[in-house]
Amino acid sequence: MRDIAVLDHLPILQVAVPLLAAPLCVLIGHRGFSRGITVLVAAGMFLISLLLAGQVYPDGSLHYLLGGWPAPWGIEYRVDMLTVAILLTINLVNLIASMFSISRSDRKFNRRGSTAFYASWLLCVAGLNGMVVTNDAFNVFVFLEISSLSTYVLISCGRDPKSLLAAYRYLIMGAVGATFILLSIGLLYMQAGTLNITDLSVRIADQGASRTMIMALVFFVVGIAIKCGIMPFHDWLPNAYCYAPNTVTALLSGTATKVAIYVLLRFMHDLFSVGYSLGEMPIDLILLACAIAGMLIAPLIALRESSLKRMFAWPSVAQISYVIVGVCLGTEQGVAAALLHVFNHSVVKVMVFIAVGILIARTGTDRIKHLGSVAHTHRLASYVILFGGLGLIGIPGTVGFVSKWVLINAAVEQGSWWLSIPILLGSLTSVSYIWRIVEILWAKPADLDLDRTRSPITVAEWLPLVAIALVTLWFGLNASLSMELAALAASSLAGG
Amino acid sequence: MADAVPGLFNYWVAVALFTAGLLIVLDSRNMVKKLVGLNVFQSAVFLLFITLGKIEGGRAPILAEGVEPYSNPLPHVLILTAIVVGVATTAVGLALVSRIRDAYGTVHEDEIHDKPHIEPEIMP
Amino acid sequence: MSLFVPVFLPMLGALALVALRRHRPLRDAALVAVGVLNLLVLTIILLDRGGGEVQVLAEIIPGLSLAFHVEPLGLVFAMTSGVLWPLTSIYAISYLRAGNDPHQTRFHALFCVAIGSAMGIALAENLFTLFLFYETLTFSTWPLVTHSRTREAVLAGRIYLGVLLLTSLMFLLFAIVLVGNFGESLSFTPGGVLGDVSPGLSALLLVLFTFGIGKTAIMPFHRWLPNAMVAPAPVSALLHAVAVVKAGVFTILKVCVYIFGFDLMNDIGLRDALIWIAALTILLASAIAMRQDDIKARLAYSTVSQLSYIVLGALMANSYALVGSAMHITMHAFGKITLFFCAGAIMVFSGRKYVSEMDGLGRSMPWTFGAFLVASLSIAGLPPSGGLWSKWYLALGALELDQVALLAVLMISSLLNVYYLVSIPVRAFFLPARAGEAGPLENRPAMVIPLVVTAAVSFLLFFAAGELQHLLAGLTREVAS
Repeated sequence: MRDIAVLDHLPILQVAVPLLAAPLCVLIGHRGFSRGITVLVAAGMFLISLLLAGQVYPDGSLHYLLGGWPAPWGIEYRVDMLTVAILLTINLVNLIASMFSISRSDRKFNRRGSTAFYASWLLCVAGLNGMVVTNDAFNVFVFLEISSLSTYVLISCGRDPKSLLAAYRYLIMGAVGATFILLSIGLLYMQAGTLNITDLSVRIADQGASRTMIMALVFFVVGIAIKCGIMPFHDWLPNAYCYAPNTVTALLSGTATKVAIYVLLRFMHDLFSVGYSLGEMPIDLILLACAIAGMLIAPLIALRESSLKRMFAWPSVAQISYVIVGVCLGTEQGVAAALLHVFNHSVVKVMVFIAVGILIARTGTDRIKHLGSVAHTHRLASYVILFGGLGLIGIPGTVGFVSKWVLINAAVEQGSWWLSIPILLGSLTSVSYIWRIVEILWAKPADLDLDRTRSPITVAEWLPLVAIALVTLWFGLNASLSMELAALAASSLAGG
Repeated sequence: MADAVPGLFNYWVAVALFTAGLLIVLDSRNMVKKLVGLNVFQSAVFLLFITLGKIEGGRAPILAEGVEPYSNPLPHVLILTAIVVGVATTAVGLALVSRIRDAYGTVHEDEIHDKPHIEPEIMP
Repeated sequence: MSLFVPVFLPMLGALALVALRRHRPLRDAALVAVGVLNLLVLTIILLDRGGGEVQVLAEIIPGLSLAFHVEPLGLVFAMTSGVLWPLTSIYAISYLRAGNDPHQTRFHALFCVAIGSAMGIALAENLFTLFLFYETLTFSTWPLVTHSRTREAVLAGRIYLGVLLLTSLMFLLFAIVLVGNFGESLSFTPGGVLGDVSPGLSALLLVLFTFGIGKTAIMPFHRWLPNAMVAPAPVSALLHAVAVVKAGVFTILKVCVYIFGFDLMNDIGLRDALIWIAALTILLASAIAMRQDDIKARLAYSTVSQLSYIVLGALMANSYALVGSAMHITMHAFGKITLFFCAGAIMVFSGRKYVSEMDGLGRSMPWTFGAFLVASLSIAGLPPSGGLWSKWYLALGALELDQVALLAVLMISSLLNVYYLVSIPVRAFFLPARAGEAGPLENRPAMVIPLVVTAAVSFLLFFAAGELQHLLAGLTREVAS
């Protein structure tokens, strides 16, 4: 009966495995070992997410008590369909990105630095998973900081010294955001005297609105908006994505902001309840204004960027806006659309950044103007960038279309049909920067000596790229699975 | 209203530290000072948390006869964790600043921006 | 017969071409073979009507499926493109070889994808499938427009993509979303799916569809078409005279018949305004065409004008106009492709591309200009040519609406056509050559034969129009009831 016991402890294993693997990397101090264990742990974590999904599907929920202490006193981990949906997304992304991370060193350090890099990677993943599984508000903060701190370290590992500045700026913004969240949690504790999210939501509902609550909600929204990279709080994001090592960009683009969205959903819909945060407080209007600005302005800024990676950072700001629209609709369909977009955007983004990473590693530059006609020598990467670009625009047959379609339908159903205008306009503006890249990659005369940039593509590069491209292709053409999971996740949130 | 200031003394201190810290973070161009500001800013939140647990005349929460009323120990524990997190943040921040100094020779943001932007050369 | 075959056969053909890129003769043979095979498949479908049922390939999300079916309008469009494709392939192979083009495989492969997309549009069972292939068509033709990679071509490509995506993503997709939410379904259903929508919404939808289907080149969204003429002649011939533009007008016809239904169309007050925009496009485009000296630009504006005939017919929403529009898809296709073949042949054989340079050229290229004459008669709608019939039915449709003014528009436009199209072969045959006679130039039979064949078909359609009308009879009965 031993294996059954293991199955009972899956929620904690989801966090503990990478948390324990991280110091192991440093202690053993062997680069090959660190690489191996990072991929192995990533695979294991994806497996654990799958097993957890199997346990809660279709509408169950697991409550795991840390150390056996009962819920309001001890720390409780909760796994339901929403948790599982996010876990599957981030662990899939992590698996793909970690495979890519062992490919070729685009980092600037020696062997010891390399082990520390993988240790930070594992810690980051542990923190992200922890934020998702925990049902304790303070624990959310702790895991948030674990993932954030290791993210700062990962970003600072880029080749360009500007990566240090990017990491520092992110650290300042991230720390301010996290402290806002901490303050919000403190105020909630002041009001309700508990930290368990389920418990909090019940007590808050009993006590009704108060000034403390308003303050808690406001601080929380601002804090998490920084973490999500919503439009006016997005300042850290383009630099961080641009100067981080290519592998880290791939990981971050598919996980960090997505987990922040999860926390936003949990708090806004569950803890504060939809009626309060969207009904009594005008949070939805404020966030919608930010989101519309984001989806229209970000593509235009992307059009003017001169760096390929930085340019592909802006769609993250734009696409998070679509998710926010779904969240702000306040309906089950809206949340389902948001979750679907979280997944779809994650896979597209990690795919694009891996392709961009391969391209940059070959050509040695990420200046867009130097990349003329590169598509003719680096076919795979270029076609994947094209495919990802079509997905970002939302051309039918791609994942981007599926989630935008669902989102527009949710908006129309909720009565806000006018929201489909900025959504469509946003798609249209994204055409401009995607097509600028396509024109340059295919039709601009070559600037580099292309024959010198030729080098065979390694397994660690094409395997994750092709794998994620196939996943993206599949979910663009047959979205029944992702739709079902998103719908179940949304209903698990609405059902409490 | 008369005792709004003395009675809620702890909150006023927290608010003052909070604002001052945030101002330093936003305004200072010196990277080390920014981190100092961040610490002040975080301390405000820590202070707020700790004062939540304190009850007037409350004693240390020891499970024994006669220890009644006692202060809530939970905020202290939480803040202990938060302080550790804060220390870690500061450490990472200072490490980054020291690396920035190695790379740019300064910790002042304006001076870094003044340096001409050198585009990375095309590598073979 | 599975309806997936005509859609995916050309796409698989594209892969085969890429695989055979090192063996040129084999590759070119494969191209023609795929075209002929595709025509064969279409003929089988024409005969058994695909069994009549809806064939679902995949359901992307509930209510949004990739499905195909067969109906008369789709058959007209698919057969027209299907017949012309192998002919164009033969012409294109010769054309590209004449120019020693370095990217022939890419050209032919993308051509295949474009044709597959056109087939997908023709056989689409619902708006989503249609939209999917509509966009595939846009994207697969972009590299063909920018084929030469010159600065001019890239700029033209930008306008091409910009206009087509602006209209389709902003208006057409929005309209589809609205239909999906307020209509009964996205499937093409005889009688329409907008049973109980408010008058305001139906008027909005009609506007969105009319301008959203940018491939119809209705003014003010017509600029992409003249710009697309930087592409090689075979692209202009098949894609920008047949597949792409006919995909546009076919879509609007299909929307009017199967999404709105003629009853609803006749209730929309705003429709008359749109009819006049189409009429204005007919006249203005003809007027612009007269002033073009570049022969391809002149033909492009002529296309803009002729496409609006079909839009006009679709908006008139009666069974005469429907027959006229559907026939015009075929009639105009054969006429216009002949004209573009001729323009390409003149370019390759004599190096001339301006109308003013063509004096006396007819004696050196009798076949080409003979075909040009027949085709321009058909475009103008003069007997004996197929073009007469479609205009005849459109005129009947206008009378049915008591719009004598529209009749006048059709007449004036025909006169303008005679002036700016028929004048070209007349100059070529009867005016003295400016720089002396050039002697016989038509030395590539693979380019001359296709244009003679299409011209002959244009002429023969004068006698075969009854067959087309027979094909459409079922549809008109459905619409009338």
